[in-house]
Amino acid sequence: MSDDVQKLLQERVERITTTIKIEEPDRVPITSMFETWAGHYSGYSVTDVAFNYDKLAESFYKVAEEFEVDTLPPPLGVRCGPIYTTLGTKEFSFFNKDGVPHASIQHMEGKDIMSVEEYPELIKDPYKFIIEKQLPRRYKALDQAPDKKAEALGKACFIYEKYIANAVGKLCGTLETKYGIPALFKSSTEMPLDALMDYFRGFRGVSVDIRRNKEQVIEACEALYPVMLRRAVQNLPSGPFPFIFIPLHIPTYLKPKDFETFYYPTFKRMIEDLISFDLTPALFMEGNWEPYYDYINELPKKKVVGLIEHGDFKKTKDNIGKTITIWGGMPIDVINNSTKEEAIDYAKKLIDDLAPGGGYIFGCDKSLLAPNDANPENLKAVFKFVKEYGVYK
Amino acid sequence: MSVKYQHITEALAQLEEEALVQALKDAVEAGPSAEEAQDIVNACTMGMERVGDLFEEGEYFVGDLIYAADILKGGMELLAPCIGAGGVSKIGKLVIGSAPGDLHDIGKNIFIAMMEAAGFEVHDLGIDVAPDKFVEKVKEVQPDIVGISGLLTLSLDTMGDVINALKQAGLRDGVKVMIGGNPVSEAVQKRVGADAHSTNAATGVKQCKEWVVA
Repeated sequence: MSDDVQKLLQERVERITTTIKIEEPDRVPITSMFETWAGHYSGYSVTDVAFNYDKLAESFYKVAEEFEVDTLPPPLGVRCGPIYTTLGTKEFSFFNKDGVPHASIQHMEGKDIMSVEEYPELIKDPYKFIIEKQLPRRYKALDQAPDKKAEALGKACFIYEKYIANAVGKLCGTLETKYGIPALFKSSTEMPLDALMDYFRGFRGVSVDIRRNKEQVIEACEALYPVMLRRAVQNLPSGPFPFIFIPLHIPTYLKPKDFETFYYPTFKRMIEDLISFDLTPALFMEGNWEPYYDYINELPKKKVVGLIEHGDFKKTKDNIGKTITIWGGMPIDVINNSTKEEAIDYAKKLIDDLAPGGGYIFGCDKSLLAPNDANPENLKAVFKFVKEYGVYK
Repeated sequence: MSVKYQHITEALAQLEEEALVQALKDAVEAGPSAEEAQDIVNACTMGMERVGDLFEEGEYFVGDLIYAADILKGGMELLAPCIGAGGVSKIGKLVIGSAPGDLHDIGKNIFIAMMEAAGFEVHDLGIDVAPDKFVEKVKEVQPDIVGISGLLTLSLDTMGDVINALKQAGLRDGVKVMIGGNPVSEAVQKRVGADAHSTNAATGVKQCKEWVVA
C-alpha cells in the first residue's frame, strides 16, 4: 500500500469511528449500499456479477474509483450465485426460465417450510430442526438420500470457500490497499423474529401466529437467539468498525405493543451482546420507525448505527440522534426523478438537519440494485456536494 | 346497514377472531334469507372498512391487515353455504398483477383481500405478468381498474410498459390505473402515466372505491 493510500484509509476509518461516537469528524462520511447496481453501472447483469467474481470485483473497483465513498459494503447483497444453483434454492432467483437475468436478484418467500404444528420441534432443538427439516425444504439438493446430500453439501462448502476468498476477501482487500476504502461490514445476522419470518413461517404465518400461538412465537425467538448471535460473532476481528449488518424486516409491520412483546426482547439483547463483544450493530431500519423511537432510546448510547428509510429527519435527529448514529436519508426517488440542483438541495437539508454534533453518515435510503435505481450523474453530484458542504468547521 | 349484524362488524374491526367465528356460526345456523345473507356480507365489509380506517389512523399496522384478511377468509368460508348461486353484489371490477419481472406478491395479496372484502370482483393474474397478459385480461373482463403491484425498484420501469401496452391496445382511457408497492411515489406515478399510486393496501382500496362510486 502506498503512503497516500494508507493515509486515505486512515482518514476514512477515523472519520467513521469518530462519527459513530456521535462526535464531529472532519466531515460527514459518505457511503451507500452499492449492490447489483454496481454491476449494471459497468454493463454487467446480475448473473454476471453473482457468478463471475472477476466481473464483480471490476464493478466494485469502478464504483470505488468514480464515486470515492468513504467505505463500501462487501458485496454480500450480490450473493454467491453458484451456491444457490448447486443446492437448488427454491427462494433466490437470478434469471427467468429462459435464462435471461432479472434486473435485480429476487427473493421469493419460501413456501411450506415449517407448519404451525412444528413449533415445539423448532423450540426444542432449533439446530436439529434447521439441518433435518428446514434446509431440505428450502434446497432441493439437500432433500435427498444422505450420500447425495453429503455430496451436495461438500460441493457447496467448496464453492463457499472460493467465494469468500475471492468475492469478499480479495475484493475488500484490494479496495483497501488500492483505493484506501475500508469495508463497511465484517459480518451479518438477523433478529430472531425476522429469522422466524424469513426462513420458517413467512410473513403471513408470523402475522397470524403472534395472535394464535403467542407463547410459541416468543419461545421460538428465544430458541433461535443463540443461533443468530453465533452467526454474527464467529471468528471476527474485534473493534467497533467495520460494523455488523442487521437488516430489520418485520418491526414496522407490527404495532408498537406487538413489537414490544415479540420483537424487542431478543432485539435488545442481541444489540447489547454484540456491543459487549466490542462490535457495532448497523441496523437497516426499513419502513417508518417513528412509532418505535422510544424503544431505540433504550439501547446503549453511541454504540449503534441505523440506516433510516422514512420519516421527518429533523424529528429523527431530535428524537434518537443522541442514542444512535443516523445513516442514509437520501431518497433514490429524488436522485432519479429530480434535477441535479433539486437533489443537491435535498442533500443540503439532510446535512443541516442531521449532521450537527456528528453521528450522521450520508447515504441513500435504499440499497442500489436495479439498473435505474440511481442516476449516476446526480448521485456523483450529490456526493461531491456533501464532501464540500459536509465539512465540520 | 342492518343493526342486527353490527356485532359482526365490531368483532372483525376489533380483530376478535373467536367472537367473529361464533357470531357467523350463529347467523348461519339461523338460516338467513338471501337478503339477510347479503346483510351479513355487508357487515363483514364494514368491519374490514373499519380495519382500513384504523390502519390509516396509525392504530393498526400491516401485520393487523394480514390477520384481518385471514380471519375474514375463514369467515367467508363459514358463510359460503348461505350465499346463493348469484353470489353477492359487486361494486366494481379489478384486474391486477405483479409488474413484469417482479416475483413478489405479499403486498398484492393483502390488497386483493381488502378489495374483495370491499365488494370488488378481482381478477388476479399472479406474479411477473407480461404487458400483453394485462391487455388480454382487460379486453376479456373490461374492468374498472387495473392494478400493477411491485416490490422491487425494477418494477418502476415495467409498470410503464404495462400502461403503454394498454395505450397501444386502445384500452387505457377505459380504465383507471393504480400502481402500488413500497417503491412507488407521485414522481413515479407521473413518469409511468398511472392515475394513482399507493404504498399501502388501505389507502389503495379507498381510492378504488372513490373511483367506482364517482
